[in-house]
Amino acid sequence: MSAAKRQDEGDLGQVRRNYNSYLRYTGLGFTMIGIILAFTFGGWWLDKELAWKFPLFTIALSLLGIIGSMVYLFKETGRP
Amino acid sequence: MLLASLVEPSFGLIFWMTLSFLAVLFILRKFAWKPILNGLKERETSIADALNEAKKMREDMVRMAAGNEAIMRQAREDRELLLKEARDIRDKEISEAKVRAKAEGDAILTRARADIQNEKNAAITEMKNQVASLSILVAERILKDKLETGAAQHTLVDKVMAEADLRKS
Amino acid sequence: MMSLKALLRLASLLIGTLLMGSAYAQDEGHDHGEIAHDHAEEAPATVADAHTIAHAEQGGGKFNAGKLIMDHIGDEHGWHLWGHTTLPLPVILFDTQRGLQVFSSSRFEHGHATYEGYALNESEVVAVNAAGNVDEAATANIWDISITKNVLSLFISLAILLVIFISVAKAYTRRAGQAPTGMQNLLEPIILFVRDDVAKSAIGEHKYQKYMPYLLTAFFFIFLNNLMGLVPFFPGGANLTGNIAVTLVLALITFVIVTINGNKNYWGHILAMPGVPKWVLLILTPVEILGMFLKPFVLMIRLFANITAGHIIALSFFSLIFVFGETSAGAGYGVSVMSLAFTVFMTMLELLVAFIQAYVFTFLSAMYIGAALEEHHEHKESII
Repeated sequence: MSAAKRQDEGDLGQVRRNYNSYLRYTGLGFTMIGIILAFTFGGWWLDKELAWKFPLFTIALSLLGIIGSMVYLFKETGRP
Repeated sequence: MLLASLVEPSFGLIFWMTLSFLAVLFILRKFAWKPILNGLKERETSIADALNEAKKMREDMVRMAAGNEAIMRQAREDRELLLKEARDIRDKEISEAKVRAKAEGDAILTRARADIQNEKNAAITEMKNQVASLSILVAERILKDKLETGAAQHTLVDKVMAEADLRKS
Repeated sequence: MMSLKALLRLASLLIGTLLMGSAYAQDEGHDHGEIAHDHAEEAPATVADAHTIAHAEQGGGKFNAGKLIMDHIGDEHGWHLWGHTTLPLPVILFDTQRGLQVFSSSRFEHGHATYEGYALNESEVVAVNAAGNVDEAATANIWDISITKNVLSLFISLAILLVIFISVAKAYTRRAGQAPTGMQNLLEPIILFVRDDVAKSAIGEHKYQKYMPYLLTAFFFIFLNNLMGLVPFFPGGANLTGNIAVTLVLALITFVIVTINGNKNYWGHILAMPGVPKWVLLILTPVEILGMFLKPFVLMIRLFANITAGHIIALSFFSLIFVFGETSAGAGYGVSVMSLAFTVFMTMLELLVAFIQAYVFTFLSAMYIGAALEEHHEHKESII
């Protein structure tokens, strides 16, 4: 029955599935920004706590955040 | 402050939202979504069943129609065959009758011819016999007349004798 | 020798750039901070203006668009119906010092009066001392669980959901197997849409049933409240789905469902992605853990921002009529035609958005649930 139904739906079903797969990536940008912000914030907090002259962790963690968000992007889009 | 009041979630609303939303979720799950989803599923299966049933029936009809067609064709073929056979038989009988009639006619003719021949032969024989007896009668009469006297008889005897001798020597 | 020197120079250059970059970044950060600060100071100024103008309005009858918009998308104790008529609502306070306090919001007289040591400050209940000044320490003890405009709206919408869907469910049991009628007919395509295009496509044919109640409830709750937010008068008018507390709770429920139902495969992918070298895991695992929280967070922000922005835009166009109407009647009529057209257009758009946002929230929730339930399968990842 389901096979017959799928056949009946045909193109419309295909369009819907495409639309759904587009939705899959809508939150990606925000999530990437969130990752970068979270890392940077973590670094900023560490620097504040440690009170070093040089804001090492802010820089290092924000860079790591960017790399992390890239890795995340690849991982999410690479998923079938 | 304006933005803060907008993005800062208020405790009271979180409290009431969690409480009432979860309550409604559980009530709806039990009293609404379950019957609705079950109803939908049941209807779908029943519709699917009905459709399958109809499809099967349609296929049966097609099969039956095809069967009818085959039967009709068979019947037609049978009729054709029967008619052909009948025709053949008739033709054969006619031709046989013809042959038989001809043979009979021939036989009759032959017999007739033979009969005629026989009759003819018989008639010829009869005629021959008649002629023979008539000849004998005539000869008897002639002889009677000729051999009434002794002298004549003697002459004849002598003559026969003479002939018989001659032939013997 | 040369090459070593060149290398050193390059290294110093790089470090220098980095340092400068960081210094620049810090400056920028300061700038941003200052800008944010400016904004922060500007904002209350405008609110204060709004308040003074609002007060002036009561006296002089001057229209204020900012107040109209903020009243609409904000929350309040008591529900302003029209003119000077306000529906009083119960104020419920849990004071850790004084216990449970329940009284009508009309006691505050629109923020002008103090009642039993409580007062309204920017529509928030605060504790005040005898002199009438805000007592910060006592205010910290107050847990405000009043039935505000948004809470009442929440109850109304939930009651509507209960009435509609229980009656529809009755129709399904009463007329089992028959064609749908009336309300049932209207809602069935949407229910089927949620089932087939949201749950089945995102979670999968075999496991979706367990999550249908939540997905359906969330979908219709968001959809109904989006629609109710478009209605400008009493039962509607509250901006519930554009309220961060509401979207927070919804996103939190999704998060809890995902976290509780996450299988070994899901946790394995978060904590130690299979088939990935150790040093990449060092980055990927924190990122994945962050992503676990960020996903529902984005879900919360998206719904909140979309609905609030839509309301602000629609209300701004609507306000234009009155703003121009105050300068001159002619301009008011002239603008009102265009503005009305725009408002109608925006409302139409909002109707679409109401549906789309409900769909997006439900679908993404379903997708996260689906990801948590996904069984192990061979990955064809070539990237890491």
